[in-house]
Amino acid sequence: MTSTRHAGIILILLMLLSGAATADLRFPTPELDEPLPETTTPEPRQGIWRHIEYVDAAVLAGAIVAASWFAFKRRSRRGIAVVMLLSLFYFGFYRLGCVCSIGAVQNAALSIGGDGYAVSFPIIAFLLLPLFGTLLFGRTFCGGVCPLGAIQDVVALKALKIPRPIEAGLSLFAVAYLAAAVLLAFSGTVFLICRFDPFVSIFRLVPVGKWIEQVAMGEAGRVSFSVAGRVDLLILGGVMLLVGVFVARPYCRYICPYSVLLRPLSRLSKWHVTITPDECVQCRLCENSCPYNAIEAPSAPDPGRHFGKLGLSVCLVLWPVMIAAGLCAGWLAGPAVSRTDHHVRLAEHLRRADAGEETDHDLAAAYDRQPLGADEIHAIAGRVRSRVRHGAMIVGGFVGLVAGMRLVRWSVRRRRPDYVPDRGTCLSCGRCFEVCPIERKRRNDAAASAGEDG
Amino acid sequence: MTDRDDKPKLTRRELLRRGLQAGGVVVLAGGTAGLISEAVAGKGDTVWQLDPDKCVKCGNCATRCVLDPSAVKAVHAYEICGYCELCTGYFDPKATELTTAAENQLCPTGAIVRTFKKDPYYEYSIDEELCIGCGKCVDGCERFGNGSLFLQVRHDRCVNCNKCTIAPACPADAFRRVPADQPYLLKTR
Amino acid sequence: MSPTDDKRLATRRRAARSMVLVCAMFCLMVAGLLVWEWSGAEGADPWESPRFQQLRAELDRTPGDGELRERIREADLRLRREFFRRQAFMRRGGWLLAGGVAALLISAHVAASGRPVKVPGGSGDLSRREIARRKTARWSIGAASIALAAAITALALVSPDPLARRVAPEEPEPVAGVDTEDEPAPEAVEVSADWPRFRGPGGLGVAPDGDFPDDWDGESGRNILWKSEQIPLPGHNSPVVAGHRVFITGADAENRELYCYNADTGELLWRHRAVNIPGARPDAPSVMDDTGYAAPSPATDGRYVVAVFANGDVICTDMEGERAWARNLGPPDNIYGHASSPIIHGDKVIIQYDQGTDPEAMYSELYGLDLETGSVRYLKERPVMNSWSTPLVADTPDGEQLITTSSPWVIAYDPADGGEIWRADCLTGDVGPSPTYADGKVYAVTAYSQLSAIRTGGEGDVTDTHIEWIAYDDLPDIVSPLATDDRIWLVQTYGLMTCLDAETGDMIYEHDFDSTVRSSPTLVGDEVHLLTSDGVMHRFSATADEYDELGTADLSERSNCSPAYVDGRIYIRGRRHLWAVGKE
Repeated sequence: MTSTRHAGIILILLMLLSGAATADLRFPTPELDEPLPETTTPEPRQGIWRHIEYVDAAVLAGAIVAASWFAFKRRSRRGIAVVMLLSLFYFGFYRLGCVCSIGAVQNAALSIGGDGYAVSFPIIAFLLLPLFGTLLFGRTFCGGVCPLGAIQDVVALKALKIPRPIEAGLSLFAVAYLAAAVLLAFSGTVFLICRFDPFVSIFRLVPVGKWIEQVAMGEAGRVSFSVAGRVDLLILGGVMLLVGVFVARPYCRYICPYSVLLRPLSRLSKWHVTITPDECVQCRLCENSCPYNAIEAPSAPDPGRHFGKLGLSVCLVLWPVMIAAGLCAGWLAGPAVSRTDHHVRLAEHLRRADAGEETDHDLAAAYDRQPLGADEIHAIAGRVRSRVRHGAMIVGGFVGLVAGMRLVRWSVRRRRPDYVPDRGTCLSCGRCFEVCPIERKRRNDAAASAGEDG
Repeated sequence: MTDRDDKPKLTRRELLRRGLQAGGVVVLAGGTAGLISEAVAGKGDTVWQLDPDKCVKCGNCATRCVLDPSAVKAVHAYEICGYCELCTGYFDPKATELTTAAENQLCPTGAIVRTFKKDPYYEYSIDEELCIGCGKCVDGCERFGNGSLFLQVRHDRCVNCNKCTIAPACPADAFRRVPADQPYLLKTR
Repeated sequence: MSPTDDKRLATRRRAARSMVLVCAMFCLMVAGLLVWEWSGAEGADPWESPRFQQLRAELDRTPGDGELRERIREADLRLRREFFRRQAFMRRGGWLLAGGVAALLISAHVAASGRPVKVPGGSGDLSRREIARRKTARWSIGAASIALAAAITALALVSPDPLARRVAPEEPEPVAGVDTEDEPAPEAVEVSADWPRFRGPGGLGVAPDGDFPDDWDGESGRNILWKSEQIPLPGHNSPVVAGHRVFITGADAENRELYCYNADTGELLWRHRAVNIPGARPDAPSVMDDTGYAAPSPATDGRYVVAVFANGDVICTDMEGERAWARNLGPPDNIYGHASSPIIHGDKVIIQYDQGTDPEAMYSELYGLDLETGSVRYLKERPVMNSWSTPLVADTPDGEQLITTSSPWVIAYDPADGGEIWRADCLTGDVGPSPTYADGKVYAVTAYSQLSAIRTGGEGDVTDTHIEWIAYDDLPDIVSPLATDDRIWLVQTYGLMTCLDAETGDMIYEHDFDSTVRSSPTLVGDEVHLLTSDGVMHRFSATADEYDELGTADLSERSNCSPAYVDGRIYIRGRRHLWAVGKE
């Protein structure tokens, strides 16, 4: 961050370049009586905003702690909701939705993919803080911090119950989405999650953040923009929110690639919120309170040792078949995915041109401007293609593995004596606290004792 | 998860859980260490910029940015400008006379300001509020002139998306992350 | 809860419910307006409106139409206002919509608050339900997996994959002129062309003797021998003439053709398409409209015709249009498009193929090709950038010298083997005008830079020794100069002509034609002929000390080409037609 040193380096480079530039200008610059104007270079961030990413990371950590504290210590839905709204405003409408923890997965993949990009500390924090938080407290990040979740949370007014068995299939799409996003980010081309983020354009509908910065810097009105430039994504976001009125948090439950990481961590978490602060009396009042259908009823009495053996063995046989199918699908999809790469596109352009077919004019221009010859481009494209194809097979196999694992899990019997939140899908939003009679009693007692103390 | 009637089963399950938990911690810690070593080797914060030497003026900058108008604008390197009277970045190739009339201009929003300096030299500057980053002037200037007009991401507007939406749409692969304290790739002599 | 509390709550909820309705209507309205505005936009910029494009196209056809210009200016103002108004509307609409949605959500939450929790109904046989649940879940996971696999397979199958196509092994490049063995070689009788190349014999712009008409008129047909049908494809090249045949070329982005016209009747005798040329790239290079895809004029020696096109295609046919050979020199890296014409010298075709903007990169080349087979007799790398000038072979006291001009060097070669004789550093920028030669001096010029008169006879770098004088003012950027022993005429594209003294470089007179000029002047007897772009031929004295106009004639068609003067006839390529002017 030593900007003066960098500026010095730039100056030296410029001097070297100007000394080395021998090519004459087509039309020499005239001698004018006044000095020539300079090209203006407005800085990305000014003043106190220079290192705002670090502030963002700190706010994120604070918000996770606050949401967890409200969930565990205060058991207060209201507190969680306030944290959620604040972080919706901060990360969503003020910071315009970038960087987010979901997208940070891609930065990590790109950094490991190694084309010269190295992930920065704030982005590492965005990626890992929620993961560590989840390993400790369950998905309090999802319920109380994530701005994408929050914007869906506030519209979830008439949540319908989607049967959990159906959800088991639907949530598989998130796995495939994560796999595709990591593959593309790893190959350094598209950030799929960002490209099709349905809510970021809603955050940018009103550029509050830029407005605040401008007012603070005394430059209000200097720069004016913008409805989210991508109306197509705005419409996608609108539709997603409309669906979200009836299906609570559809993105989180069936699409969000980050949830694929959070679910197993939450299952393993050190602590997790419970519906009741004490012993469950099985009053069933909480059963309908969860808009995400994450509350599991107590299991049926043991139906006997041989229950479901057949289903399980079929699933165990199917498991490797599914992995193989995933590998095949990845192999097939490899070339199509590799087409996002610049050199592959150039190579295709060359091949088309050789065959006398119509090609893209801009690609032809791009080919003429770059230094590589046709053979080199074909060689690079060949390497990229084989790399992407192998990567696609790996992620395809991964999706098959997860799908098979879920099949097996739905064939194994587990016992639940009480009403408990499903640790994988529970977002620790705290809605169920409100309806639990034991919880109400606890609160009344606490209020009474506080009154006595007072 | 707790099964008070079945002690041995509880221990087996709990043991497995603890093991997995420890595994999770190890994986996360390993990931953290790996990423931090990446970050230490890296250049810190980055912003997006486009390399004018690669740019092919396809027009995607105007339409693919998340902002409207785009954060990409034409900028002018005056020190390599010829101050031509017949500026091919300003005038339509079919222009019949060298006046500022609409039918002679190349810029669809009239964002280039033409000022007389001294015979026969004119200065061309860009009104960024009007510029939409279509690159028509850049194409004209580079084709027949010195190439002193070029496109740049203007960082007073850019919201610095994690992945620039223009980058994958760029046929010339001209967009890249640059260190935040050297945010421009300018053309110079 | 007391009854009054209940009542208050119910009233609040009712109020919130009506608020929800109002807000929903508002949001729908704003969203509708935003979508309406968005879909109303005609393009990414104000001028992408089809009506505006149409107006501009009309203006291209009738450049002088003042009323049309006014309409364009009005439309421009209206469209730009509309464009920026739309942007402002979308900005404000965003705030309105966000505000409306916020209000809608708040009231909806109030309306929904305090709703009692529904107690779930009976659960039936838990074990049976559990079994059914698991079954559904497994089917659901299976269906999702199959859907994913199907989607990926479909994606893979529909997207074309040109790189997976089996590539035919590269054909060995056929030796140019493979056909020559089967065909009788053209007779090696002494033949000569009448106007063999761009700017006529020797490339000097001097017409051979002939009884050329002074008084002619394209409109009435006075002294117009013929006017061809419309030339099939456009081109800015000039006619060449040999043996009662007139040759021109035409091309667009896809097609390239050589045309042969009957010099007596104007009938199109044959056309030869430049196709099936090994190494030719199908995508057209980007060229400036002023250059086009067929800027180089053909060249002929009375036995063969050679034509070069913007994509690097070179074709050579005999007088009947049968191909002798063809080759491609590789797509030229040339900012305006290749324009230098080929010339024929003895048994060689000479092509100045200058490329790139960095002289040091040595991209530029000088080809000496065998006229009969097209094989390379010599190939010289040139330390120059791209240029648009046509070389000439000057008949100097020291023998024949091939004069080439391109920044920064004027280089003279031996046309027989391509050996360099001398060079002079006196050019900067884009070299459009071709060099000329008179009285032992080579004249090389670039716009905005300098005109140099270079004495031939030197060797090596003659920059400091052989440049006789330099002129700096009013230099041409397209039109080639015309030189006699004591005069030199320079014409700027914008119509200003200056006449300089060949001894000193001092100006004798200047004259403004008040029209653009792209055609080069010709010396006809003791007159100079100059065709302006509006199609008017000006004749003026080549010896007077001031501009002395002897007469004009009007072709009635615009033209940018240099006419050919043969046997009392003037062949002029207009924008769309080929004309023959001669005494009836």
